[in-house]
Amino acid sequence: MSGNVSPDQGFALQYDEPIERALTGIEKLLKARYTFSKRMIALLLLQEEAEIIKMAQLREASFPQIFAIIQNTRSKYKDPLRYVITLQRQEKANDILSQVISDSKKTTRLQSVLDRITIQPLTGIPILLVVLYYGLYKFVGQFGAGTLVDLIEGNLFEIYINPWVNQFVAKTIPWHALQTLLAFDYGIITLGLRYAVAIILPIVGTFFLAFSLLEDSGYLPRLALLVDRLFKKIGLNGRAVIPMTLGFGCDTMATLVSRTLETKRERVIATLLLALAIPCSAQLGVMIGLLSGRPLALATWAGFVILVFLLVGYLAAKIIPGEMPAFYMELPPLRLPRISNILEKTISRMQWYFLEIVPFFILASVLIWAGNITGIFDAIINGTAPLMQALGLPTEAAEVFLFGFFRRDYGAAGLYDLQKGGVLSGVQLVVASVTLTLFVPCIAQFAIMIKERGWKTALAIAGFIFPFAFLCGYILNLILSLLGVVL
Amino acid sequence: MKCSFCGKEFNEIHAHGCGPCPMRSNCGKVKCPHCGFEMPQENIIWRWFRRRRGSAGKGRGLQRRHRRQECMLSQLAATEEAVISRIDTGNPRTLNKIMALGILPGMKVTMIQKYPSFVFQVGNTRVTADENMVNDILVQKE
Repeated sequence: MSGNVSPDQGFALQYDEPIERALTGIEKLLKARYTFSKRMIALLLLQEEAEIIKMAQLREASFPQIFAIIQNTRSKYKDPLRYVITLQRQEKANDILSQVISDSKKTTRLQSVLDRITIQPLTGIPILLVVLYYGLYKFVGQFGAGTLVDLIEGNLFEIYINPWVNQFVAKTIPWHALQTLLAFDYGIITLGLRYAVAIILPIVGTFFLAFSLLEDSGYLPRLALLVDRLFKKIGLNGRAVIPMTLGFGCDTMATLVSRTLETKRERVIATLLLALAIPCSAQLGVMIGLLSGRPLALATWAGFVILVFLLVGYLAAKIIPGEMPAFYMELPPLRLPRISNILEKTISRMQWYFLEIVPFFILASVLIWAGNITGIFDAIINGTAPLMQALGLPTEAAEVFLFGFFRRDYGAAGLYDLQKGGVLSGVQLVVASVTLTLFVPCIAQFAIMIKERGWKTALAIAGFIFPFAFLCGYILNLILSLLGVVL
Repeated sequence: MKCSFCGKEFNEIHAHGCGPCPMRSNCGKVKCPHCGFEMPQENIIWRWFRRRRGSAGKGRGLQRRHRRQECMLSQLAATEEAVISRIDTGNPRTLNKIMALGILPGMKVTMIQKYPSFVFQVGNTRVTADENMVNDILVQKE
């Protein structure tokens, strides 16, 4: 490279003779106007870039001649042209680089030690568990879902806002139906908004904060490489760890993120597993709160759900046709995250999430209100009584499952109420928790499933999960009662 | 593995033959891409044994040792260095992926770790990949 070439003129990279000849040939044949230079278009055509070829086919009258040149050039090389061109480019780049850079090792010792121990299974898995325990359980589960929710929901809403709204509505609106739509047990403000602001926002907020930290530190690719082998068994690859861990925050968003997976097969499997066996943070928080009094029950619940996750993934990988997944990723160095970036990311995600989710909460409130007023709910609850009996649960549990469809955590919260009332035994509690965890995705997630995967796939997944969740509950109940376990 | 009919060595991961057959990934057979001969998949123990032997460089015949040895990137031991000699794949999508990561012939590669996934350094980039991918990259030891 000569030093006096100014960058805005660009510098022309000379390829070898057959390619240069093909390039001038194609350039002459190109007649339409493009936003790039003709040489660029010719290069992309030569590399058989699918989009550009499609475009040229539409816009160039002399496409057959162009295609002939491409084929002719291709026949001169053993390897694909894209490979040949990239190689020549790389050679030139190396040439330039070798003149201007010198290498020096700059990593500190702590960094290289951390780098090493996070990717080795023997040390990496304990580190992973520590990260999950403190990041997910302690911070999101206990601080977010416990302390913050208590503060906002228990104090702000229960003591100040709800009574005030109830009073105000009772005073100003004379119609009973409209009153219950806005306030009281299932009102838009007292239930829908309260859930969105007081329960979901703090949980999801703390989750996003923890997740952004992990993301910016460069830990996630390391996590991906640790779990790749396991995930291959369930038809996914290590990359899928990102939507899967996101699922512990919110399955709706995780389903949206599963579009980053490469093949359709992986996306379908990931959507299925998210809908079936990954509890979202709201649900997870309530479940852990519910079962934490009985460690054995908590272990049974977690073990059974993990088993179902692996089993269904394994079977899905066997049944669903398509290409085997490939795993490859750049492994960035571990870095100390910048606080300003993390805050910005967290806030914009929360904003986006909140706007996305509020309409669904309001819709769910309205549907529950309509169901209650018209008596449809009572009919459904009575109709499902035999199903509850098969699971060994009291009839009141039907309400929990029905609400679980509107919001996963509505259901879990309902279960919480039942347990407080002392209606459930330990075994019943575990069976109900497992069934509720596996049971259908919430309305929001289902809507996103339809949007992302299409009607057919979404309905097929829901159609599989619905009976399957109850089957699992039934089997678990059978096993536990046959063994005479008391939890 | 090695084709038992024509003797060509190939990457068995890409060699599930029978086109649209829904059973092809689980039928336990591989099809040689060179001659089309179908044979049962190599058994795990034997494969492990062969790879061990391969990476130790034993029993490979004398003429091989005189030439500069070309082997798959996956056969490199941890901390071993080599130069990428070529990318061997018939699948243009895999080729694109590998090139997009900046893995190109002539570049120096250092193996960092082999289990649970391969981790290696190419130039200034550290890359992690699974076995299928790493088997397509051929290197020359120095």
